[in-house]
Amino acid sequence: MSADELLIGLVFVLITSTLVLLLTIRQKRSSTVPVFRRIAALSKFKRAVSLSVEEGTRIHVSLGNASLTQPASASAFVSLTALRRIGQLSSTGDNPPIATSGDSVLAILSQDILHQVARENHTLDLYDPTHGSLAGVTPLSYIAGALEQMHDPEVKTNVLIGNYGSEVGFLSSYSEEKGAYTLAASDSLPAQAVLYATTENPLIGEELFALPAYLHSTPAHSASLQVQDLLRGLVVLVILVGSILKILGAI
Amino acid sequence: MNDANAKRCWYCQADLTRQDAPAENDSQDWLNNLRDNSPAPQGDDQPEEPANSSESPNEEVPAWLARIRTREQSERAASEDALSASSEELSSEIPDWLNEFNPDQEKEKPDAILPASASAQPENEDDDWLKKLESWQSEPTSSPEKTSTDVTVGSREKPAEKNPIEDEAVTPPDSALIKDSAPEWLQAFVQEPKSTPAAQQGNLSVQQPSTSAFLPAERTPKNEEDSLLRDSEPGQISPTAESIESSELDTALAPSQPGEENETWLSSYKKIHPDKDIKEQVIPAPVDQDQTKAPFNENSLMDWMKPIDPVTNPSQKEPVPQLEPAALPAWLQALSLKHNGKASAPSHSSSDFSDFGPLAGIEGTLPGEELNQFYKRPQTFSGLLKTTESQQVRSKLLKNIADQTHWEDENLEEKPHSHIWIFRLIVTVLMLAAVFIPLLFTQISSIAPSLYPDEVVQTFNTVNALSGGKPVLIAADFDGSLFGELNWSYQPLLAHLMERNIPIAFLSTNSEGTTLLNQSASTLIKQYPAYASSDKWMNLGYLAGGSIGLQGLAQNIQTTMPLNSALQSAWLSKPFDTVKRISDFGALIVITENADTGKYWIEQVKPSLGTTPMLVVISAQSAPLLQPYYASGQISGYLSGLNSAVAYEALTKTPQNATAHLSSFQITMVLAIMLVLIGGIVSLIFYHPQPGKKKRVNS
Amino acid sequence: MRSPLIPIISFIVGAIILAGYFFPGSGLAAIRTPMLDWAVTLSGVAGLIAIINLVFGVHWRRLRDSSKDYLFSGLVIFAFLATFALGIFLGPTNPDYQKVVTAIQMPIEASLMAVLAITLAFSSLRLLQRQHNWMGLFFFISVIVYLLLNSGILSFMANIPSLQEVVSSISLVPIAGARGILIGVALGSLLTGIRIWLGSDRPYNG
Repeated sequence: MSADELLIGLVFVLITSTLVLLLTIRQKRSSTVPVFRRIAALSKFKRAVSLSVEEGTRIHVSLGNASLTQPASASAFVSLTALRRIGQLSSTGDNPPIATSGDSVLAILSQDILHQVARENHTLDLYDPTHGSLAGVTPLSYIAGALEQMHDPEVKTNVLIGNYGSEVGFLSSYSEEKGAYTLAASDSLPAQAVLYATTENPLIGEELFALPAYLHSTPAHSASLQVQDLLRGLVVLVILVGSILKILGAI
Repeated sequence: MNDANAKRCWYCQADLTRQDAPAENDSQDWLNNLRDNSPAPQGDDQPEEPANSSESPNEEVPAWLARIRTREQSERAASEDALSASSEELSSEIPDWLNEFNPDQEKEKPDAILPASASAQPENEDDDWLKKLESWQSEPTSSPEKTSTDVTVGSREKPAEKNPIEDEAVTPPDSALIKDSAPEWLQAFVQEPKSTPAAQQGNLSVQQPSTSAFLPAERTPKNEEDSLLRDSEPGQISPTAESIESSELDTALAPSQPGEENETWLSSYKKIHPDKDIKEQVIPAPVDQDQTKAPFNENSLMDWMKPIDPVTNPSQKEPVPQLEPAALPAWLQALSLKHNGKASAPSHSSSDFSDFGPLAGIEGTLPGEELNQFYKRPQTFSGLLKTTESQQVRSKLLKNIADQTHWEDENLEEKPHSHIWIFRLIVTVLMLAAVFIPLLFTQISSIAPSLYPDEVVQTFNTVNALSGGKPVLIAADFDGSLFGELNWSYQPLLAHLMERNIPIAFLSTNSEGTTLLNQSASTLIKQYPAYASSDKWMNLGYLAGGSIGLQGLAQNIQTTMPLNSALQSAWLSKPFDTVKRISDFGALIVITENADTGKYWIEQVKPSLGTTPMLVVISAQSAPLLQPYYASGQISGYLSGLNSAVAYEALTKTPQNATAHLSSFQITMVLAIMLVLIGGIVSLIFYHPQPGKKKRVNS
Repeated sequence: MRSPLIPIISFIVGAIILAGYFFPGSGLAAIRTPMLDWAVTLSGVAGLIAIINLVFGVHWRRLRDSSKDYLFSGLVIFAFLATFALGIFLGPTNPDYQKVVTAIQMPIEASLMAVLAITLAFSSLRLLQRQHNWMGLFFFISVIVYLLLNSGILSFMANIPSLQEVVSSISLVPIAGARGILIGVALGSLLTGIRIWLGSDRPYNG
């Protein structure tokens, strides 16, 4: 990578960070919550969480098998944030959520989050370290372990968020056949294609990264999503201008 | 109470010729006070109607009984009219939650309130429940609480039953029930305990049993309700004298056993000494203001039982006439002389002296204010949920509905499994047939590609351009799941490298990649004896750390991977001793099923490769994601799936496994297309939304 | 209240790694490389802890409690201990030991992928049942078109120049779509990383 490309990348990161910080501070001061476009899957998911609490059923959060030492860890961090929020939303229920992961660090972090949520909600008596478990160390062994957790009759809602391959079709198909509500999102394109064919409401593309903001986690998440939308518009503009210039022969 | 014309007491057969008249007057006096506190009974204005036609005209009826019957006939009609109007008023005063509490009771409310109208009837009606009071006083009990609470009819019919007051009357719902089912005068009493102290003093001794007498009608089972209603409804006791004896007297008086147990309660009366002044013995002392307590502790009452604003109920301010001192009838004194003087109820000592009320001045009577203690006890709320019969029926109904819903949900979950496996089996059989039939019948030909993809051609050209002395680094970043597809894809490339006698070093960022590649290469290497004899195949093993490890590899390969899998120095022996940096390799070939893995290699390692070409063998499902990197020139070429392998074999003119399985692949693809097409058309025609929980979530 | 120490450490480490990436020639590489090594080591230790937790925390407890499917848990523990012991004594490069992978793990995973192929084919039967909208219909048509193109049975069309251009153009459509999605995913990843770097998103206690 050339020095110019590195410099552009650095400037891009710094500007993005500054925007996130400014918007976060602004939202904290004004106490306003930005309104985003409606994503049907997330609206239904909130209802599914409420139903799960009402019915006393359990929510299974599948964190995927992204390693935190890989770039795909971004989806794993999103899934951990979602796990925390789901734990808070379902704190009034009898059954705390369970989490399965295909990476060891992810499993430890999920246990940490579930413990923290239980402590915040004063439900430590319901906390079990095995609620956050390493289901398998390879993609398919992870799928096999996660399927076992989904087989629990108490599990009526499945949240599949993270990095998967096409093998996620096992999880989504089983969840649909079981009649459970399924919220599925992945940063992997093959997984997105499979999820679109096997679930009703998958999150496509960057909608995965909008999940924390839609679950009303913190102002930083909302600010992050605003910056994400801004940057996306900027990229679209750059692509359009570049295409026009290319057609005109300017570049 | 005995009839006014009776010569002898109904219960004890004592002579009543001298003392009955004053006693009746006394009772009428304080009963008049009671009526003053209550709204004017409508039944009083009603003319007396003839006796019920159901009565036998030839029957010999005592005069007192005939009078009761005629009055009851008139009251029945009057009370029905009055209750129909008053019940609406009552229902409007009842809280909503209480209305919902027991709809059946609402239906029974007119019946349950019938005694209330009876209280507003002429004085002889009052005699009935005064009889109950007498019998209650004579009830032998084992505990003070039971003594004062066994007055309920229901408890008489079932002595073993729990005391309704003890268990229920102190709870707010029961208080509400008392208010609802009690006569109007009692409701006013409940609502304003302080406003008419004098009247309450006069009422205390009788209100307690009266109010509690209504409780079983609210709480007891149906048969008990019927018995209570028989007891309380005038119409039920009027037809015959037998019915009076069987229904009213049996229920109200039977437990007291007139000839025997009346002596027990009379034993509490003290003997009047004839040598002392009778006035000193019977006239009560002046009423102490401190004793004018409300029967209910205001603090212990529910909000809705708290005193009503006098402005809203001015009738409560009416002055209450001073009660006349009462004296125990002589016949009762005579009876008490026979007794040994032992108190009938442990709660009342023989020295108790009623200062007010209809029995004021009479020693040994049940003092009204002590009943206050009964109500002043701290309210004890049962931990158990007490439900009525109708509530239980409703809860069962709700449970049935919930169970049915749950069952339906389970059924919906299980239902697909019941027939899904058939379709799944059909799909499985069809796909397996599509795979195996072309392999079994080799005469089924495939459609060979006539044009070769550009990326495949570029890959071929890149390998062809490699120098024979420079080793190639292969990253085997795949697992066993897609090994079959990748094995077909990379075998022609590997064979091409071996054919050109190019040294190969390989590693993997996952635990099983090198093992699988080693196994595959060990089979292939047998086809190239010259290559097998040399030491051009080196296993570098597992590279830990994912993309972080790749960064280290890009920066310094010798420190990141110093040893081979045999734990020997990897970079000292030929032909790998020429490798100092990663760019010293002739080419980098990444074999992976995951586009992200290919992306990591491109992003982390490619910048360090310089001019060294980078090739990728990838699964067909991830090929579109790699296309941009090929289009931008970051990778020199790539092979994806079986089609690329067939093309590469065609380019190297060494048809192997990929070409052999092409027909099977193509037929299976056609089958998949047909399945998707048929399924889509069927879904379009027979569309039905998803049922069950998802429907609720979607709603 | 959470301690600010851990976010501060996290921010400093992130800044060093990021600066080392953008300024590869600086002295930051001397700090960055050991940090990355620590991360890899910690990841390996975490893997060991998680596996021990899986085997002895989950499956051993099931076996001890005789809960449902406890026999399978016993099998898991036995397989783990046997593989671990063989790996220690024989070494990971031993050809016999490698048969654990080639004769057990690989066939299992390959057969699971075969089952996945059938599962997805079966799911595609109800594709329009789930996605009963215009996007679903478009997806349905796309699936059929690209299955046809990738099957290779349209190779005869290569001899017709006009059709060849049409097929080539159609083949580029998913590439363009994939690129758009990847840009969105990259932006989301960037912002997620920035949130964690700035400490506003903390998937850990402390």
